[in-house]
Amino acid sequence: MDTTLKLKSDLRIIEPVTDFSYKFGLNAGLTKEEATKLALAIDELVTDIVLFAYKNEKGEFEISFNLTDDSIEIIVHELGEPFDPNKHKYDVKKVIEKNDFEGAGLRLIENLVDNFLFINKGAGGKEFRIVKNIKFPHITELFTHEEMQVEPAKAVSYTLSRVTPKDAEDISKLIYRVYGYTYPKEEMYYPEKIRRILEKGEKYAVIVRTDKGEAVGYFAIIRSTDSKIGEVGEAVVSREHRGKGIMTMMMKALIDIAKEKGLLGLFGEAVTVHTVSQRVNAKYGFKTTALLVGFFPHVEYKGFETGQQRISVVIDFLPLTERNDLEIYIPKRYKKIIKEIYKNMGINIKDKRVTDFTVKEKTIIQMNISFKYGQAVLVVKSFGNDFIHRVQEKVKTLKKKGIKAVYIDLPVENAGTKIFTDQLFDLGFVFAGIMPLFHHQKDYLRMQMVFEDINFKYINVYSDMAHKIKNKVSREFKWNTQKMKSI
Amino acid sequence: MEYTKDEKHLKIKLNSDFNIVAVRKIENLLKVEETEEIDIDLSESKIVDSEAIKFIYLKNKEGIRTTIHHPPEILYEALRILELQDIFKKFIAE
Repeated sequence: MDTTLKLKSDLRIIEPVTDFSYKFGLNAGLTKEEATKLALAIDELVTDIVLFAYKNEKGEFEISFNLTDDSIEIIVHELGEPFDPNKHKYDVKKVIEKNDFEGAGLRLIENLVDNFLFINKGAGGKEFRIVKNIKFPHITELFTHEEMQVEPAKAVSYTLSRVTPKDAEDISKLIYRVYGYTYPKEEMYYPEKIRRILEKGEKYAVIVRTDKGEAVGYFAIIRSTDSKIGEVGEAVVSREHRGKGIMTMMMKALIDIAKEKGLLGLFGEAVTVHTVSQRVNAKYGFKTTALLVGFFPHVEYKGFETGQQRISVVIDFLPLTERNDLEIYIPKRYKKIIKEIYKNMGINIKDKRVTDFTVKEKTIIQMNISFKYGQAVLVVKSFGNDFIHRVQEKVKTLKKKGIKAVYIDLPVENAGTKIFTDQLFDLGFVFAGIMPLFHHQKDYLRMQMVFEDINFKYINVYSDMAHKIKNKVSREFKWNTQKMKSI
Repeated sequence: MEYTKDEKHLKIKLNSDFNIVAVRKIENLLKVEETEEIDIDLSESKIVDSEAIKFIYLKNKEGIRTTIHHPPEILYEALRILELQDIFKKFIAE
């Protein structure tokens, strides 16, 4: 359903684009009222671009309409005149006293959508991002608390099957029964969202039922969108049915499915509030490769101390394909720890020397923002002369918009990674780890920056490798905390 | 856009959104038609944007009594956001 429109800067395109936005919104699941708000926001943005960015001159711009699991993201990219939205603030007093409506369109956009972000890309033009959330009924609106609390009776036998969209409601009820309101992936409380994701085929999952057909176990692989790997997650087993081998049965089935689907690896984002998930991952051969600090907002976990801070996760990786030797560019600063991470995965690495690196004309960075989790991942595609400046600008913009954690992925097969790592550290980024096969089947060095206080006392890790990574990350955090705060 | 003229009273029915394009069409009309009063029927408009709001406000300020009829609900939301709902009460027909 994702679509990109290439448009001429012409007043006549405003209404067709507005109509398209309205229909796109309706098809995505917005109510008529919310789709109209989205359409008006697009009308305002496109009008501003035609009138002010190109000032009625010939020009072209692009609008991408993307549908995520629970939101519509519209990205507008144009190369018109420079613009700073902060200098165009609407004020009703100016309307009354001077007939001046400056900034009215921007004020409307900000209030009609859930997130509105402006990114100045220098010579690369300007980018506007509009996010409109889609509202679905919560599981508690469909069933009462009492109905969902009934624990399935003890079973004589269990049946494992692959999940279909019809299982969505049972999965949501199971999550609610086991975790109450504390499960961090909020979408699991919305059966309609689960159903949509399953229909799109982005998730391979298994469900375990008792001989009476009641759901007692669920586990999934969420396919990465830009690489042939998948995330194992959303594991849940009903309390009375634990210790019966259900988790083992599900994990084995998922690994088989992943191989059958041609995935090259699986990873887990295991929370560090406790080490239960990390232990499960280790049992099945997953190896820790990174520690992502403050990865999602604070959630209370029954019986565990969380320190009221954002939740950190370790990346545990299980390769499903043989990888013996690798030649990569290893930044001097992280030589020891990176070699250990690869060794732990059974991969021998050779450090490539930089011989004839030339920066590209343009820096290309793909930015994936999750407003819901207050985090952004910057994926570096190419290093240009303005690389550090571009990263700095992006980080500033994201911080201003309330993003709490920024991660940057640097391709280890590109010499630029070796060259720019120290400058990123000077900017305030610190080590996170290696993200194996994470984008286009290639390995990336991840660095991170978190704008909230983190007490490493509440970050619990299990494996030896995870301890080594945690030590490295916490040391660098101590060193760079002030830089992160002042950016 | 359809319109009728009765002396200096212009009656317009928009069959599109009330946006910058519609505003410019009406402004072009005003250049050739001497007008003291405008009534705009918005029963077929899905959207009334800030350019249209500005137009209604400024025309009334200029002394051309401009009234809108059957506006879409989104207009009230837009006026609330722009803190203009009280001022616009007199520009919207009951």
